[in-house]
Amino acid sequence: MDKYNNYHIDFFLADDGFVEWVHSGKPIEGTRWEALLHSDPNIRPEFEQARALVMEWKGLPSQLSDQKLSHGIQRIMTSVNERDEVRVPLHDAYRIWFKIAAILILMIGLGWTVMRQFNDKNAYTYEKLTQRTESELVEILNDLNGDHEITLPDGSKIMLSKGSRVSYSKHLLTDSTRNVFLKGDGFFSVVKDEKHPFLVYTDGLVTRVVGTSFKIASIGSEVSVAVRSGKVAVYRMREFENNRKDDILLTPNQQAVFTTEQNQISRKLVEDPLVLRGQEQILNFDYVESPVSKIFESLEKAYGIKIIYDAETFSSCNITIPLREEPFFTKLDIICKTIQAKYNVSGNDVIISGKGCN
Amino acid sequence: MTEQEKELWKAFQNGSKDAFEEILRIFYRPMFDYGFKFQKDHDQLSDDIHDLFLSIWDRRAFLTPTANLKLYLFSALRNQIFRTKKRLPFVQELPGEDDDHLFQETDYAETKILRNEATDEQLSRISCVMLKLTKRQQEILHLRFFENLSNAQIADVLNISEPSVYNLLSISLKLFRNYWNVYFNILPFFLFFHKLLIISKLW
Repeated sequence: MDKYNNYHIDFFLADDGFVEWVHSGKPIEGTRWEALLHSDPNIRPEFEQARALVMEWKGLPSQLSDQKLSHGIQRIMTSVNERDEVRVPLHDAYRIWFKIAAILILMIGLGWTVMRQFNDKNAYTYEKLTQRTESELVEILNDLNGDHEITLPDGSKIMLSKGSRVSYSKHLLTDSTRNVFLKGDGFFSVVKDEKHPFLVYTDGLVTRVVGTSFKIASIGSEVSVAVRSGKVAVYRMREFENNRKDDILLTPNQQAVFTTEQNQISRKLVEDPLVLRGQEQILNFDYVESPVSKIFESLEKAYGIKIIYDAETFSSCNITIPLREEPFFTKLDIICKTIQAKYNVSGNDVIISGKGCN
Repeated sequence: MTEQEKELWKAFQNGSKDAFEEILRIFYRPMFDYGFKFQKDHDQLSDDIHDLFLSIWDRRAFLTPTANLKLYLFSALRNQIFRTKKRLPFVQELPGEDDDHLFQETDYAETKILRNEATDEQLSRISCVMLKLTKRQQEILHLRFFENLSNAQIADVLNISEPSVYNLLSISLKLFRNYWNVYFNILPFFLFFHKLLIISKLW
């Protein structure tokens, strides 16, 4: 490759020194840019473009008109002034009563919240939820000695584990949302229908999808949702009911683990990430003397998992490696051993650390 | 932080409204331009800035002195915007199945620029290219070039590590360069021939 191919505009734009130099308006004489241009005149066009860009960028017009600016500032100042007027100094004698009242209210409030929490804990079991729902339900129980696949009226499929059960509305096809209640474990392949979101209720957790496949498992007081393809949103039942849609959005190879007792959702990678559907061909060949950054990039694409590493440290790492069917973490193991690095899983991301290659 | 900003911050913490207003005058516009990178709704954005400053005013006595006022305000605004965004109805929050976040679609720059030929002249060339990037990429380029922040300072505002800033920046720049070349190195030729064609047909 032509070595000057490296000097694109972004090479200059990424350089702190370059940007600073353009801003300073100092002459080019005596800077390293002069030497660089001198060494090869071919890079001049890209260089000049980068210089013009930095100047143009600095002079971009603001989004805010002067009128709107002063209006915005005035609005804040008015609110601040109003706020101060409300605070009339209280007589000292009243102040103590005021404090006592405040503490009392606080304690009652606190007590009420704790009670509510306590009562709520078991409000979302399968039995309670199916009783409470207004629509007529169909219930299916897998009492066979193994997994059993069932098909819902809309064509969606659920692979039910032994002893698990689901309920769904008799009018699933005409309801505005497709509601399914699950007790136990199930692998869902949901038929896409954007107008009718598919909702799965499992203990205190609501899983919302449009069309996708994912697995829900409940063990003891834990519910986990692991995504195979598509996108999935999960909510805590309580927030869902109160219309506070604090969702957690999951993409393939991510899972959410919900603990009923703490009413908390945490997010992590699935134990054995699989190659995304449609991305199988990315990994199916040998990398020969390839930069490790390229391999990480392919892995990111193939698995949809973010890999974080310092590009500069590993810039001189070139490795030869065949990547095939082995599990994701085995691949990482092999790569990391080759470049003498370590990996950690942090939330959804993989972080690579090491000293680099020389 | 400049001496002037330090003085202002101190006076503001002691309850000076004049100092507070001065801070608003210095930072309102840069904050608006920054926030605009991920909150395109002008009214919502000025609401967010309003609420943020009001809460800063209320908490003034408890705020710790910051090393860099601008960075502090930027990252506070960022949090504020995301907090209000979360409260939006959830139907909007779940993107369709088809948009794949891993692959930014490289779409029809030509058709778009042909359609927008008239408005293009008003828009600056940079804003034009910026619109093709994701919000996060726009945000980091804005901080880097419009606000002239260093990698370390950007890391501070976005609350991520410096290597991540470096990665994000280089990806954004690469994309920016590609679009820039399509728009301003190749397209003018294309448009030129396009016009020639029209003229030759008229003959």
